Amino acid sequence: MARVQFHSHSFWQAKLNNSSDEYEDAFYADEDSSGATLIFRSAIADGATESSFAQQWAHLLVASYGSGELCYDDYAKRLPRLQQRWSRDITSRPLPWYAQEKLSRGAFAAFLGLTLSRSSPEAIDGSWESMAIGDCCMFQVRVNRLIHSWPYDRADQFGDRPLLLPSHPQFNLSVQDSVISGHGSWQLNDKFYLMTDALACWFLRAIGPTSFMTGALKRLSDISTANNFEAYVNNLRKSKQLKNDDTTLICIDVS
Amino acid sequence: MSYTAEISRVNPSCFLFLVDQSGSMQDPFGSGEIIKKKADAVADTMNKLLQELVLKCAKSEGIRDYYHVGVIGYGTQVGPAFGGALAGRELVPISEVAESPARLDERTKKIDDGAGGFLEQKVKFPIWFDPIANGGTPMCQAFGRAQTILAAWLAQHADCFPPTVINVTDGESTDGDPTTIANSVKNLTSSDGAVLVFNVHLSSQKSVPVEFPDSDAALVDQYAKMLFGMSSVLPEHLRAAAAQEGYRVSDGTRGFAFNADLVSFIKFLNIGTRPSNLR
Repeated sequence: MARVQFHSHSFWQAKLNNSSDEYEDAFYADEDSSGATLIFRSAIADGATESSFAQQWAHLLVASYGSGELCYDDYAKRLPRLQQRWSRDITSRPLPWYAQEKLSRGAFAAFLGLTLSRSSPEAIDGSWESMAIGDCCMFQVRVNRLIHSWPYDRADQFGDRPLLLPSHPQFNLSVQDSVISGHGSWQLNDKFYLMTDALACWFLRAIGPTSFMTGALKRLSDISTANNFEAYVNNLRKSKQLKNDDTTLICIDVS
Repeated sequence: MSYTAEISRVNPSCFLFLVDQSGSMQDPFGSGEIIKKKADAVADTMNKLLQELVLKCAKSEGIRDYYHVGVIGYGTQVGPAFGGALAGRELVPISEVAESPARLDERTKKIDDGAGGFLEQKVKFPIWFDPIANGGTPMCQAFGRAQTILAAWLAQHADCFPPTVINVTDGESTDGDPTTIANSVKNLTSSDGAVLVFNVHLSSQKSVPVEFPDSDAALVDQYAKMLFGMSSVLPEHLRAAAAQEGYRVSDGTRGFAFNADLVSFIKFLNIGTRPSNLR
């Protein structure tokens, strides 16, 4: 009997008029080519525009979640170590006065990590757990219907001033109790979408009260290449349905 | 909806500072326990405003030119006040301002170490302006110059987020009441709205500092009342941003500060996501 695999595809598009090396989101997803993975991790992060070195911070966060180093249970203990690593990486080079000052203010990022687990390679269902701070979102879709939206479930919850994960310890108290966790279950043929805020906000605005994936939402599952995604995003931006911002999507298919 | 244009490198906005460098700025500055002259307060305010604007635009790879900046000094004469490499220039991209302070002073800053203590860190503080106090206060002429500069800017950037003029002064204009010419400046528009005129009034009066008031009732100084009247009402988005920062605002809230700087205004300008961790 064929095993259930976790298939993931990640897509990204930098903000319009920014170059690709100015893209400040980050993403990570495990590979499960053999269908033997019992724990499948994925993560998405969105570096705050107004902070410097946010790209580096976002990358560090998703990589740490992917390796299992960062998890909800003891994130408060792990965070200072990640912050030191970020600072060490940045200060290894000489910086002009404004970069030094920005460094002292730290970088910030929204973050969401999702772990899918199962009891054995033969299992066709299992559980998921997630941790998040800020406005990255996770959507669970079953038979073309949104069954779970986390941590936001309405488009009006998005704003320009979310509470974010800091790269500098002076802000650690400000996020105490603000990193949240969620959990649920998955079954064969479920889809999970992880999105940074611009796309997530559009998604929630577009899904409507029936929660069925129709029209442009349905076409989300057909995206298979970077070019497809670029065209999809450009279309939404042109029609002013999507805010001009770095846009990132991870699609996870359990099949 | 006005004042919603995206500020970007392809569609930058503009800050124009008018800086009182007249002889009356030799007088003591009212606020704070340390005695200093109004000219010192002006120089401090300008250096902090420029620093904060540079930092707003600073990214890992350098400074993004979201803004063009000009400083017009008015005292013995009216004209561009930048020195050094920027001397004589009316508006320059913010990246050039960042690269061209007159000098970098070293100061010590206390930083929270996140473990209940503080670390002392040496930081470089950029200085573009030193105190100047000489001559009359041709404020009308300064606003006239602003009108010319901004009319030319708007001809090139018709869809920009409207320019902001910040006038830093003790208010004692010697070439007439600047209200009319200030109104002419406020009548200049981009497709996104009218030019904003804000005033920072630095007074010898030892009164409580005021930021973003919605009435002049608490302002006892006649010059403060005049400058308050000249100041633009905050557009809705900026009002909401001020409220998020903890300011009490109403529909009548104006861009005016008395014996305070407007660095907080620069901090809550919206060029993208700003973490609410920062206050």
